[in-house]
Amino acid sequence: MSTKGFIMFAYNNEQLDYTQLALVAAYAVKKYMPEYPVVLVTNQASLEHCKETHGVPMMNAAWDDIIITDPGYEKNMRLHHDGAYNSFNAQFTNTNKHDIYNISPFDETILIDTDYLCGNNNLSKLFGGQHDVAMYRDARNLRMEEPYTTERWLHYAGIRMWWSTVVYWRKSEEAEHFFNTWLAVKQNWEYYRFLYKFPGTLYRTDYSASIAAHMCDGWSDGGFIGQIPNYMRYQDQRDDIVEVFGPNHWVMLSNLPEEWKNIVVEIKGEDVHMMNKKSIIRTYDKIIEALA
Amino acid sequence: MDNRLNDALAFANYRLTLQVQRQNIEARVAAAMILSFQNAIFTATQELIGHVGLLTVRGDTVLVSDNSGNVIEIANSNDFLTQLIKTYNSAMKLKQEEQQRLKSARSTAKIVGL
Repeated sequence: MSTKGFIMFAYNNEQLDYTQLALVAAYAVKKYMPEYPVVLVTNQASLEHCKETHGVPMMNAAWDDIIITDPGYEKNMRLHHDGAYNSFNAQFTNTNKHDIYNISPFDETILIDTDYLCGNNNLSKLFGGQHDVAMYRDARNLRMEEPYTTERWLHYAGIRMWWSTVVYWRKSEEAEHFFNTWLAVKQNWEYYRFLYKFPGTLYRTDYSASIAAHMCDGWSDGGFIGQIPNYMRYQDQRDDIVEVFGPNHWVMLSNLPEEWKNIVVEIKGEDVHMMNKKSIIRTYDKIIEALA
Repeated sequence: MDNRLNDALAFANYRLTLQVQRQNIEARVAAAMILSFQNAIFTATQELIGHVGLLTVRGDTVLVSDNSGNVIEIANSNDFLTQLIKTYNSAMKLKQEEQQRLKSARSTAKIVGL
């Protein structure tokens, strides 16, 4: 009998309490897929902060196990937006995401980002599936539009992007190759950035996972990675939460740079990747109340 | 601004919100139509239900393509058919309820349940 479970990373920085986000994400998993254990991977400082701020009973209800591992500091500053009118820079610790293959205690694991909130049990259908590794290929924003070109392609003449927000894998030779290649891409980031011609200096796991997938597939797009059904719904960093009606029922503001184009949108019964992390923190009490 | 233009722009906003809400209902229905059976993922469509139903009635071997294109031989086609119908009906019920709710929503706020 193979073991199955969810896992998530949370490393706090000065601006964002990722353990608080992880609590919400874990509660959402427990709400819709209570039969699966959830494991948190964090460092000692974030763990202590979480204990002080949220308390051990809250943590015990969210996570079945906590693994302490510290990837160390590697400068990786990221510009975040909080709705349409605020932005801030924060250190983004994601440099050991590829190492999850070795960290995970499960035979089959679903890694989710702490800002990915489950709204149904569809992810559990990946367990025991036909692929050793699966990720989202397509995404839709709150208006059901496709994301920007840079979120779909690494380069306009390059390869398609896979989202590393949710990664399913089964311990296997194929999955091991994938994560080892991901590590090699990470270690030679400047080279691969040049080779695959994408802009910016931020280390993006979406890009490194996409390159690893492309390489493992014989430098082609031949179906090595399984596609998670449908598409990943996401709330952009410029969007915001207006109201929390239930554990998977939201009213959100879909914002655009042109203020007069903003609209309200209702999302219900779907998983949502909430990219505006501060919007989760602002409505934390309401969300936890709905999920508890 | 001219009141007539104000009203027209408010109406345009209402129509856009309505249109997005309709698409969001489709997205929710698409999520509800996902089914896992025999370690494969399927979408419970009318076409798949009709196909499996026909092969089951005829007593033929049921070979179907999952969402990733893998061919799966269904061991218990009756059970598969039941699950497909149950998933499809539940998704359609959800869609019907949401559509009914939208029909009576005559303001932008009402569309999104505010």
